[in-house]
Amino acid sequence: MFTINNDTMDKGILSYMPSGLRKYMYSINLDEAYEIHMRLGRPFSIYYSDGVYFVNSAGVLTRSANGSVRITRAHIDEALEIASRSSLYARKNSIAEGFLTIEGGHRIGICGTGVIKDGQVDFLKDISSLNYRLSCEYRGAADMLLKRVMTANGVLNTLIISPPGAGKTTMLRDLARSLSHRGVKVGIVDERSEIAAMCGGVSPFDLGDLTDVLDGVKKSDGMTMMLRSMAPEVIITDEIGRPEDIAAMKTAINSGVKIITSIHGSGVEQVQKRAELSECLGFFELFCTLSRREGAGTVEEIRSGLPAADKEDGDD
Amino acid sequence: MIKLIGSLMIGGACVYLGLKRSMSFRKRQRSLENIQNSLSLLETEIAFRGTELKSAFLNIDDPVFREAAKAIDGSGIKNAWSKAVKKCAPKLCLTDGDCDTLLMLGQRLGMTDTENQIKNIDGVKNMLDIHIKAARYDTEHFCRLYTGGGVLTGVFIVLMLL
Repeated sequence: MFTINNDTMDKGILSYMPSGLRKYMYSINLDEAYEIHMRLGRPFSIYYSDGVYFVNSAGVLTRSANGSVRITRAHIDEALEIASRSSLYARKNSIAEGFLTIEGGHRIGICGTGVIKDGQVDFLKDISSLNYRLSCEYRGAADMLLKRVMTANGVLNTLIISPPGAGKTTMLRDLARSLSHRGVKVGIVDERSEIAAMCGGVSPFDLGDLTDVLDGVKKSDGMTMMLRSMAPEVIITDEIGRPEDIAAMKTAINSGVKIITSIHGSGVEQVQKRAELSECLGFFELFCTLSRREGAGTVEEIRSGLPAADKEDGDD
Repeated sequence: MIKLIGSLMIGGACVYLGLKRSMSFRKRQRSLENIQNSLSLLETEIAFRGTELKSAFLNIDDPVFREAAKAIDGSGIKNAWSKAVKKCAPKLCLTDGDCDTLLMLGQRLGMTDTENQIKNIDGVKNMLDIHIKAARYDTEHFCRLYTGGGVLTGVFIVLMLL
Protein backbone atom coordinates (compact mmCIF):
# COMPACT_ATOMS: atom_id res chain seq x y z
CA MET A 1 0.00 0.00 0.00
CA PHE A 2 1.12 3.58 -0.57
CA THR A 3 -0.04 6.87 0.81
CA ILE A 4 -1.15 9.68 -1.41
CA ASN A 5 -0.09 13.21 -0.58
CA ASN A 6 -1.96 16.43 -1.20
CA ASP A 7 -0.10 17.19 -4.42
CA THR A 8 -1.11 13.97 -6.06
CA MET A 9 -4.65 14.34 -4.70
CA ASP A 10 -5.00 17.68 -6.46
CA LYS A 11 -3.66 16.29 -9.68
CA GLY A 12 -5.86 13.28 -9.30
CA ILE A 13 -9.08 15.25 -9.07
CA LEU A 14 -8.15 17.63 -11.88
CA SER A 15 -7.74 14.76 -14.28
CA TYR A 16 -11.33 13.76 -13.49
CA MET A 17 -12.67 17.20 -14.34
CA PRO A 18 -14.20 17.77 -17.78
CA SER A 19 -11.83 19.69 -20.04
CA GLY A 20 -14.28 22.62 -20.21
CA LEU A 21 -13.91 23.15 -16.44
CA ARG A 22 -10.36 21.93 -15.93
CA LYS A 23 -8.98 25.01 -17.66
CA TYR A 24 -10.47 27.24 -14.93
CA MET A 25 -9.01 25.17 -12.12
CA TYR A 26 -5.27 25.18 -12.67
CA SER A 27 -4.67 28.14 -10.36
CA ILE A 28 -7.18 27.08 -7.70
CA ASN A 29 -5.82 25.59 -4.51
CA LEU A 30 -7.85 22.53 -3.60
CA ASP A 31 -5.85 21.58 -0.51
CA GLU A 32 -8.56 22.72 1.89
CA ALA A 33 -11.54 21.96 -0.34
CA TYR A 34 -13.79 19.09 0.59
CA GLU A 35 -16.47 19.14 -2.12
CA ILE A 36 -16.71 20.25 -5.73
CA HIS A 37 -20.28 20.65 -7.00
CA MET A 38 -21.60 20.62 -10.53
CA ARG A 39 -25.30 21.36 -10.86
CA LEU A 40 -26.76 21.58 -14.35
CA GLY A 41 -27.28 25.22 -15.35
CA ARG A 42 -25.92 26.42 -12.00
CA PRO A 43 -22.59 27.99 -11.01
CA PHE A 44 -19.55 25.77 -10.64
CA SER A 45 -18.96 25.71 -6.89
CA ILE A 46 -16.27 24.49 -4.52
CA TYR A 47 -16.85 23.98 -0.81
CA TYR A 48 -14.19 24.90 1.71
CA SER A 49 -14.42 24.76 5.49
CA ASP A 50 -15.29 28.48 5.54
CA GLY A 51 -18.09 28.15 3.02
CA VAL A 52 -18.88 27.89 -0.64
CA TYR A 53 -16.95 29.64 -3.41
CA PHE A 54 -17.79 29.95 -7.09
CA VAL A 55 -15.30 29.66 -9.94
CA ASN A 56 -15.45 32.57 -12.36
CA SER A 57 -14.38 32.61 -15.99
CA ALA A 58 -10.96 33.98 -15.02
CA GLY A 59 -10.35 30.86 -12.95
CA VAL A 60 -10.66 32.75 -9.66
CA LEU A 61 -12.75 31.81 -6.62
CA THR A 62 -15.43 34.34 -5.70
CA ARG A 63 -18.17 34.54 -3.10
CA SER A 64 -20.62 35.85 -5.68
CA ALA A 65 -22.25 33.63 -8.27
CA ASN A 66 -22.32 36.51 -10.77
CA GLY A 67 -19.95 35.89 -13.65
CA SER A 68 -19.21 32.36 -12.52
CA VAL A 69 -18.82 29.43 -14.87
CA ARG A 70 -22.15 27.66 -15.48
CA ILE A 71 -22.40 23.90 -15.70
CA THR A 72 -23.68 22.53 -19.00
CA ARG A 73 -24.94 19.12 -20.06
CA ALA A 74 -21.65 18.58 -21.93
CA HIS A 75 -19.67 19.14 -18.70
CA ILE A 76 -21.71 16.56 -16.82
CA ASP A 77 -21.61 14.01 -19.64
CA GLU A 78 -17.86 14.36 -20.01
CA ALA A 79 -17.32 14.16 -16.25
CA LEU A 80 -19.34 10.95 -16.14
CA GLU A 81 -17.44 9.53 -19.07
CA ILE A 82 -14.09 10.25 -17.44
CA ALA A 83 -15.21 8.92 -14.05
CA SER A 84 -16.59 5.69 -15.50
CA ARG A 85 -13.62 5.34 -17.89
CA SER A 86 -16.09 5.41 -20.78
CA SER A 87 -17.85 2.36 -19.34
CA LEU A 88 -21.01 3.42 -17.53
CA TYR A 89 -22.42 -0.10 -17.92
CA ALA A 90 -19.51 -1.48 -15.86
CA ARG A 91 -20.40 0.92 -13.01
CA LYS A 92 -24.15 0.40 -13.22
CA ASN A 93 -24.58 -0.90 -9.67
CA SER A 94 -22.55 1.90 -8.24
CA ILE A 95 -24.48 4.51 -10.23
CA ALA A 96 -27.76 2.97 -9.08
CA GLU A 97 -26.47 3.52 -5.52
CA GLY A 98 -25.82 7.16 -6.43
CA PHE A 99 -22.05 7.39 -6.50
CA LEU A 100 -18.86 6.53 -8.35
CA THR A 101 -15.54 5.96 -6.64
CA ILE A 102 -12.51 7.22 -8.48
CA GLU A 103 -8.77 6.90 -8.00
CA GLY A 104 -7.35 8.56 -4.93
CA GLY A 105 -10.36 7.55 -2.83
CA HIS A 106 -12.52 10.44 -4.02
CA ARG A 107 -16.21 9.79 -4.58
CA ILE A 108 -18.58 11.39 -7.01
CA GLY A 109 -22.13 11.62 -5.75
CA ILE A 110 -24.69 11.50 -8.55
CA CYS A 111 -28.21 12.90 -8.79
CA GLY A 112 -30.57 12.35 -11.69
CA THR A 113 -33.78 10.57 -12.56
CA GLY A 114 -34.06 7.04 -11.24
CA VAL A 115 -34.91 4.18 -13.59
CA ILE A 116 -36.95 1.76 -11.52
CA LYS A 117 -36.90 -1.96 -12.29
CA ASP A 118 -38.60 -4.57 -10.11
CA GLY A 119 -39.27 -1.91 -7.50
CA GLN A 120 -35.60 -0.95 -7.15
CA VAL A 121 -33.40 1.76 -8.61
CA ASP A 122 -31.76 0.14 -11.62
CA PHE A 123 -29.93 3.15 -13.05
CA LEU A 124 -29.85 6.93 -12.97
CA LYS A 125 -30.56 8.83 -16.16
CA ASP A 126 -30.69 12.55 -17.00
CA ILE A 127 -27.92 13.22 -14.51
CA SER A 128 -28.36 16.72 -13.11
CA SER A 129 -25.79 17.05 -10.34
CA LEU A 130 -22.37 15.70 -9.52
CA ASN A 131 -20.70 16.15 -6.16
CA TYR A 132 -16.98 15.38 -6.00
CA ARG A 133 -16.36 14.48 -2.39
CA LEU A 134 -12.63 14.84 -1.91
CA SER A 135 -11.25 12.20 0.34
CA CYS A 136 -8.37 12.83 2.65
CA GLU A 137 -6.23 10.85 4.99
CA TYR A 138 -5.61 12.45 8.36
CA ARG A 139 -3.18 10.30 10.26
CA GLY A 140 -4.00 10.66 13.89
CA ALA A 141 -7.63 11.69 13.34
CA ALA A 142 -8.71 8.82 15.58
CA ASP A 143 -6.02 9.16 18.24
CA MET A 144 -8.41 10.52 20.87
CA LEU A 145 -11.02 7.86 20.13
CA LEU A 146 -8.47 5.07 19.91
CA LYS A 147 -7.51 5.53 23.56
CA ARG A 148 -11.10 4.71 24.51
CA VAL A 149 -11.66 2.00 21.87
CA MET A 150 -8.65 -0.08 22.92
CA THR A 151 -8.97 -1.18 26.51
CA ALA A 152 -7.20 -3.74 28.64
CA ASN A 153 -10.05 -6.11 27.87
CA GLY A 154 -9.73 -5.61 24.15
CA VAL A 155 -11.46 -3.49 21.54
CA LEU A 156 -14.92 -2.08 22.34
CA ASN A 157 -17.90 -2.23 19.99
CA THR A 158 -18.02 1.38 18.85
CA LEU A 159 -20.57 3.51 17.02
CA ILE A 160 -19.49 6.79 15.41
CA ILE A 161 -22.39 9.22 15.02
CA SER A 162 -22.02 12.16 12.70
CA PRO A 163 -23.87 14.27 10.16
CA PRO A 164 -22.75 13.89 6.51
CA GLY A 165 -19.34 15.36 5.75
CA ALA A 166 -18.19 15.49 9.38
CA GLY A 167 -15.38 12.99 8.98
CA LYS A 168 -16.75 9.64 10.09
CA THR A 169 -15.22 7.76 7.17
CA THR A 170 -11.84 9.41 7.78
CA MET A 171 -12.18 8.44 11.43
CA LEU A 172 -13.01 4.81 10.57
CA ARG A 173 -10.09 4.66 8.14
CA ASP A 174 -7.67 5.98 10.75
CA LEU A 175 -9.06 3.60 13.37
CA ALA A 176 -8.47 0.68 10.98
CA ARG A 177 -4.89 1.80 10.38
CA SER A 178 -4.18 2.42 14.08
CA LEU A 179 -5.70 -0.87 15.26
CA SER A 180 -3.88 -2.78 12.55
CA HIS A 181 -0.56 -1.19 13.52
CA ARG A 182 -1.24 -2.29 17.10
CA GLY A 183 -1.55 -5.91 16.07
CA VAL A 184 -5.33 -6.18 15.77
CA LYS A 185 -6.61 -8.15 12.81
CA VAL A 186 -9.05 -5.80 11.09
CA GLY A 187 -11.62 -6.60 8.40
CA ILE A 188 -13.16 -3.69 6.50
CA VAL A 189 -16.50 -4.33 4.83
CA ASP A 190 -16.62 -1.46 2.38
CA GLU A 191 -19.98 -1.64 0.61
CA ARG A 192 -19.70 1.77 -1.03
CA SER A 193 -15.91 1.79 -1.49
CA GLU A 194 -15.70 4.74 0.88
CA ILE A 195 -13.34 3.59 3.61
CA ALA A 196 -10.62 1.88 1.62
CA ALA A 197 -11.54 3.28 -1.84
CA MET A 198 -10.09 0.17 -3.48
CA CYS A 199 -9.01 0.62 -7.06
CA GLY A 200 -7.77 -2.46 -8.87
CA GLY A 201 -7.40 -4.29 -5.56
CA VAL A 202 -5.22 -1.58 -4.02
CA SER A 203 -6.21 1.09 -1.52
CA PRO A 204 -4.63 4.51 -1.89
CA PHE A 205 -4.63 4.79 1.90
CA ASP A 206 -2.43 3.23 4.53
CA LEU A 207 -4.80 0.83 6.27
CA GLY A 208 -2.13 -1.11 8.11
CA ASP A 209 -0.53 -4.48 7.53
CA LEU A 210 -3.20 -6.56 9.25
CA THR A 211 -6.22 -5.19 7.41
CA ASP A 212 -8.34 -7.09 4.91
CA VAL A 213 -10.83 -5.26 2.72
CA LEU A 214 -14.03 -6.71 1.27
CA ASP A 215 -15.07 -4.15 -1.29
CA GLY A 216 -18.40 -3.56 -3.03
CA VAL A 217 -20.31 -6.23 -1.09
CA LYS A 218 -23.48 -5.48 0.85
CA LYS A 219 -22.67 -4.90 4.52
CA SER A 220 -25.03 -7.64 5.67
CA ASP A 221 -23.46 -10.24 3.35
CA GLY A 222 -19.98 -8.82 3.71
CA MET A 223 -19.88 -9.09 7.50
CA THR A 224 -20.82 -12.77 7.32
CA MET A 225 -18.34 -13.41 4.50
CA MET A 226 -15.57 -11.61 6.36
CA LEU A 227 -16.38 -13.53 9.53
CA ARG A 228 -16.17 -16.89 7.78
CA SER A 229 -13.30 -16.23 5.44
CA MET A 230 -10.83 -13.96 7.22
CA ALA A 231 -11.55 -14.51 10.94
CA PRO A 232 -11.05 -10.85 11.89
CA GLU A 233 -10.88 -9.58 15.46
CA VAL A 234 -12.59 -6.32 14.50
CA ILE A 235 -14.96 -5.61 11.62
CA ILE A 236 -15.14 -2.00 10.47
CA THR A 237 -18.02 -0.90 8.28
CA ASP A 238 -19.78 2.32 7.38
CA GLU A 239 -23.31 3.70 7.71
CA ILE A 240 -25.36 0.87 9.16
CA GLY A 241 -29.13 1.19 9.39
CA ARG A 242 -30.92 -1.51 7.43
CA PRO A 243 -32.48 -4.39 9.40
CA GLU A 244 -30.27 -6.93 7.63
CA ASP A 245 -27.14 -4.93 8.60
CA ILE A 246 -28.24 -5.03 12.22
CA ALA A 247 -28.89 -8.79 12.03
CA ALA A 248 -25.45 -9.41 10.50
CA MET A 249 -23.86 -7.18 13.14
CA LYS A 250 -25.59 -9.17 15.87
CA THR A 251 -24.27 -12.43 14.40
CA ALA A 252 -20.74 -11.03 14.26
CA ILE A 253 -20.85 -9.74 17.84
CA ASN A 254 -22.25 -13.03 19.08
CA SER A 255 -19.37 -14.75 17.30
CA GLY A 256 -16.91 -12.78 19.41
CA VAL A 257 -15.94 -10.23 16.80
CA LYS A 258 -15.92 -6.54 17.68
CA ILE A 259 -17.73 -4.05 15.46
CA ILE A 260 -16.78 -0.46 14.76
CA THR A 261 -19.24 1.33 12.54
CA SER A 262 -20.89 4.66 11.85
CA ILE A 263 -24.33 6.13 11.43
CA HIS A 264 -25.76 9.45 10.31
CA GLY A 265 -27.03 11.58 13.15
CA SER A 266 -26.27 14.56 15.32
CA GLY A 267 -25.90 12.77 18.63
CA VAL A 268 -26.70 9.68 20.68
CA GLU A 269 -30.02 11.08 21.88
CA GLN A 270 -31.15 11.85 18.36
CA VAL A 271 -30.15 8.39 17.08
CA GLN A 272 -31.99 6.75 20.00
CA LYS A 273 -35.23 8.24 18.68
CA ARG A 274 -35.00 6.10 15.58
CA ALA A 275 -37.13 3.06 16.38
CA GLU A 276 -35.36 0.76 13.93
CA LEU A 277 -32.05 1.31 15.74
CA SER A 278 -33.25 0.76 19.30
CA GLU A 279 -32.12 -2.87 19.37
CA CYS A 280 -28.80 -2.31 17.68
CA LEU A 281 -27.71 0.56 19.93
CA GLY A 282 -27.61 -1.85 22.85
CA PHE A 283 -24.75 -3.75 21.15
CA PHE A 284 -22.36 -0.85 21.42
CA GLU A 285 -20.13 -0.09 24.36
CA LEU A 286 -18.76 3.21 23.08
CA PHE A 287 -20.39 6.11 21.22
CA CYS A 288 -18.45 8.88 19.51
CA THR A 289 -20.21 11.97 18.16
CA LEU A 290 -18.56 14.07 15.45
CA SER A 291 -19.45 17.44 13.99
CA ARG A 292 -18.06 20.11 11.67
CA ARG A 293 -18.03 22.75 14.41
CA GLU A 294 -14.27 23.24 14.23
CA GLY A 295 -13.84 21.60 10.86
CA ALA A 296 -14.55 18.04 9.78
CA GLY A 297 -13.70 15.46 12.41
CA THR A 298 -14.44 17.58 15.49
CA VAL A 299 -15.02 15.09 18.33
CA GLU A 300 -17.99 16.41 20.29
CA GLU A 301 -18.45 13.55 22.70
CA ILE A 302 -17.15 10.09 23.51
CA ARG A 303 -19.57 8.25 25.73
CA SER A 304 -19.46 4.77 27.25
CA GLY A 305 -22.94 3.25 27.08
CA LEU A 306 -26.29 4.85 26.35
CA PRO A 307 -27.98 7.51 28.48
CA ALA A 308 -29.71 5.50 31.23
CA ALA A 309 -33.31 6.67 30.79
CA ASP A 310 -33.26 6.36 27.00
CA LYS A 311 -31.62 2.96 27.23
CA GLU A 312 -34.55 1.69 29.24
CA ASP A 313 -36.89 3.03 26.56
CA GLY A 314 -34.81 1.25 23.94
CA ASP A 315 -34.94 -2.02 25.89
CA ASP A 316 -38.68 -1.78 26.09
CA MET B 1 17.11 -1.46 -74.45
CA ILE B 2 15.89 1.58 -72.49
CA LYS B 3 12.59 1.36 -74.40
CA LEU B 4 12.24 -2.30 -73.37
CA ILE B 5 12.96 -1.56 -69.71
CA GLY B 6 10.53 1.38 -69.74
CA SER B 7 7.83 -0.71 -71.37
CA LEU B 8 8.31 -3.52 -68.86
CA MET B 9 8.17 -1.04 -65.95
CA ILE B 10 4.92 0.47 -67.21
CA GLY B 11 3.51 -2.98 -67.89
CA GLY B 12 4.62 -4.15 -64.42
CA ALA B 13 3.01 -1.10 -62.84
CA CYS B 14 -0.29 -1.86 -64.57
CA VAL B 15 -0.20 -5.48 -63.36
CA TYR B 16 0.68 -4.27 -59.84
CA LEU B 17 -2.17 -1.75 -59.76
CA GLY B 18 -4.65 -4.35 -61.01
CA LEU B 19 -3.53 -6.87 -58.40
CA LYS B 20 -3.52 -4.25 -55.65
CA ARG B 21 -7.08 -3.22 -56.45
CA SER B 22 -8.11 -6.85 -56.60
CA MET B 23 -6.47 -7.55 -53.22
CA SER B 24 -8.22 -4.57 -51.68
CA PHE B 25 -11.61 -6.22 -52.32
CA ARG B 26 -10.50 -9.34 -50.47
CA LYS B 27 -8.92 -7.30 -47.70
CA ARG B 28 -12.08 -5.24 -47.19
CA GLN B 29 -14.16 -8.40 -46.90
CA ARG B 30 -11.74 -9.96 -44.38
CA SER B 31 -11.50 -6.73 -42.38
CA LEU B 32 -15.28 -6.42 -42.09
CA GLU B 33 -15.60 -10.07 -41.07
CA ASN B 34 -12.88 -9.60 -38.44
CA ILE B 35 -14.55 -6.48 -37.07
CA GLN B 36 -17.88 -8.28 -36.88
CA ASN B 37 -16.27 -11.16 -34.96
CA SER B 38 -14.54 -8.66 -32.71
CA LEU B 39 -17.88 -7.02 -31.98
CA SER B 40 -19.20 -10.41 -30.83
CA LEU B 41 -16.21 -10.66 -28.48
CA LEU B 42 -16.85 -7.13 -27.25
CA GLU B 43 -20.46 -8.07 -26.60
CA THR B 44 -19.30 -10.99 -24.46
CA GLU B 45 -16.83 -8.83 -22.54
CA ILE B 46 -19.54 -6.28 -21.79
CA ALA B 47 -22.48 -8.59 -21.12
CA PHE B 48 -20.86 -11.38 -19.14
CA ARG B 49 -17.70 -9.92 -17.68
CA GLY B 50 -18.64 -6.25 -17.33
CA THR B 51 -15.13 -5.38 -18.54
CA GLU B 52 -14.34 -1.71 -18.98
CA LEU B 53 -14.06 -0.67 -22.62
CA LYS B 54 -10.33 -0.05 -22.60
CA SER B 55 -9.54 -3.49 -21.22
CA ALA B 56 -12.14 -5.08 -23.50
CA PHE B 57 -10.58 -3.38 -26.53
CA LEU B 58 -7.11 -4.55 -25.52
CA ASN B 59 -8.40 -8.11 -25.22
CA ILE B 60 -9.58 -7.99 -28.83
CA ASP B 61 -7.06 -8.72 -31.54
CA ASP B 62 -8.13 -6.15 -34.10
CA PRO B 63 -6.26 -3.00 -35.18
CA VAL B 64 -9.28 -0.67 -34.87
CA PHE B 65 -9.97 -1.74 -31.29
CA ARG B 66 -6.31 -1.60 -30.29
CA GLU B 67 -5.96 1.86 -31.81
CA ALA B 68 -9.07 3.05 -29.95
CA ALA B 69 -7.77 1.60 -26.66
CA LYS B 70 -4.65 3.76 -26.99
CA ALA B 71 -6.64 7.00 -27.22
CA ILE B 72 -9.59 6.24 -24.93
CA ASP B 73 -8.11 7.79 -21.76
CA GLY B 74 -7.15 11.06 -23.32
CA SER B 75 -10.03 11.81 -25.61
CA GLY B 76 -13.04 9.72 -24.53
CA ILE B 77 -14.60 6.82 -26.36
CA LYS B 78 -16.39 8.76 -29.10
CA ASN B 79 -13.28 10.58 -30.28
CA ALA B 80 -11.01 7.61 -29.70
CA TRP B 81 -13.23 5.32 -31.78
CA SER B 82 -13.67 7.89 -34.51
CA LYS B 83 -9.91 8.50 -34.75
CA ALA B 84 -9.21 4.76 -34.75
CA VAL B 85 -11.71 4.04 -37.53
CA LYS B 86 -10.40 6.89 -39.68
CA LYS B 87 -6.78 5.91 -39.08
CA CYS B 88 -7.26 2.22 -39.81
CA ALA B 89 -9.72 2.57 -42.72
CA PRO B 90 -7.11 2.93 -45.53
CA LYS B 91 -5.04 0.03 -44.15
CA LEU B 92 -8.12 -2.19 -43.88
CA CYS B 93 -9.47 -1.06 -47.29
CA LEU B 94 -12.76 0.09 -45.73
CA THR B 95 -15.09 2.26 -47.77
CA ASP B 96 -16.74 5.48 -46.56
CA GLY B 97 -19.96 3.53 -46.06
CA ASP B 98 -18.17 0.97 -43.87
CA CYS B 99 -16.63 3.77 -41.83
CA ASP B 100 -20.00 5.50 -41.35
CA THR B 101 -21.47 2.30 -39.95
CA LEU B 102 -18.53 1.80 -37.61
CA LEU B 103 -18.66 5.43 -36.49
CA MET B 104 -22.28 4.88 -35.45
CA LEU B 105 -21.02 2.37 -32.90
CA GLY B 106 -18.89 5.03 -31.21
CA GLN B 107 -21.86 7.36 -30.72
CA ARG B 108 -23.37 5.25 -27.98
CA LEU B 109 -20.57 2.93 -26.96
CA GLY B 110 -19.90 2.76 -23.24
CA MET B 111 -22.30 5.41 -22.09
CA THR B 112 -25.48 3.40 -21.47
CA ASP B 113 -26.36 0.31 -19.46
CA THR B 114 -25.41 -3.21 -20.56
CA GLU B 115 -28.74 -3.91 -22.23
CA ASN B 116 -28.44 -0.87 -24.47
CA GLN B 117 -24.79 -1.59 -25.20
CA ILE B 118 -25.76 -5.01 -26.52
CA LYS B 119 -28.56 -3.50 -28.62
CA ASN B 120 -26.14 -0.94 -30.04
CA ILE B 121 -23.52 -3.56 -30.89
CA ASP B 122 -26.12 -5.93 -32.37
CA GLY B 123 -27.47 -3.10 -34.52
CA VAL B 124 -24.01 -2.36 -35.90
CA LYS B 125 -23.33 -6.08 -36.44
CA ASN B 126 -26.52 -6.35 -38.47
CA MET B 127 -25.55 -3.37 -40.57
CA LEU B 128 -22.09 -4.82 -41.06
CA ASP B 129 -23.78 -7.97 -42.41
CA ILE B 130 -25.06 -5.90 -45.33
CA HIS B 131 -21.60 -4.44 -45.93
CA ILE B 132 -20.02 -7.91 -45.75
CA LYS B 133 -22.48 -9.25 -48.31
CA ALA B 134 -21.65 -6.33 -50.60
CA ALA B 135 -17.93 -6.92 -50.03
CA ARG B 136 -18.31 -10.62 -50.91
CA TYR B 137 -20.19 -9.71 -54.05
CA ASP B 138 -17.43 -7.24 -55.00
CA THR B 139 -14.75 -9.85 -54.28
CA GLU B 140 -16.46 -12.47 -56.44
CA HIS B 141 -17.20 -10.14 -59.34
CA PHE B 142 -14.36 -7.64 -59.44
CA CYS B 143 -11.30 -9.50 -58.17
CA ARG B 144 -10.71 -11.40 -61.40
CA LEU B 145 -11.76 -8.38 -63.42
CA TYR B 146 -9.13 -6.14 -61.86
CA THR B 147 -6.40 -8.82 -61.86
CA GLY B 148 -7.07 -9.72 -65.49
CA GLY B 149 -7.59 -6.09 -66.47
CA GLY B 150 -4.28 -5.06 -64.93
CA VAL B 151 -2.36 -7.84 -66.62
CA LEU B 152 -4.02 -7.29 -70.00
CA THR B 153 -3.52 -3.52 -69.83
CA GLY B 154 0.13 -4.05 -68.94
CA VAL B 155 0.66 -6.48 -71.80
CA PHE B 156 -1.19 -4.20 -74.20
CA ILE B 157 0.93 -1.17 -73.25
CA VAL B 158 4.15 -3.19 -73.56
CA LEU B 159 3.11 -4.42 -77.00
CA MET B 160 2.14 -0.94 -78.08
CA LEU B 161 5.42 0.55 -76.96
CA LEU B 162 7.65 -2.12 -78.46
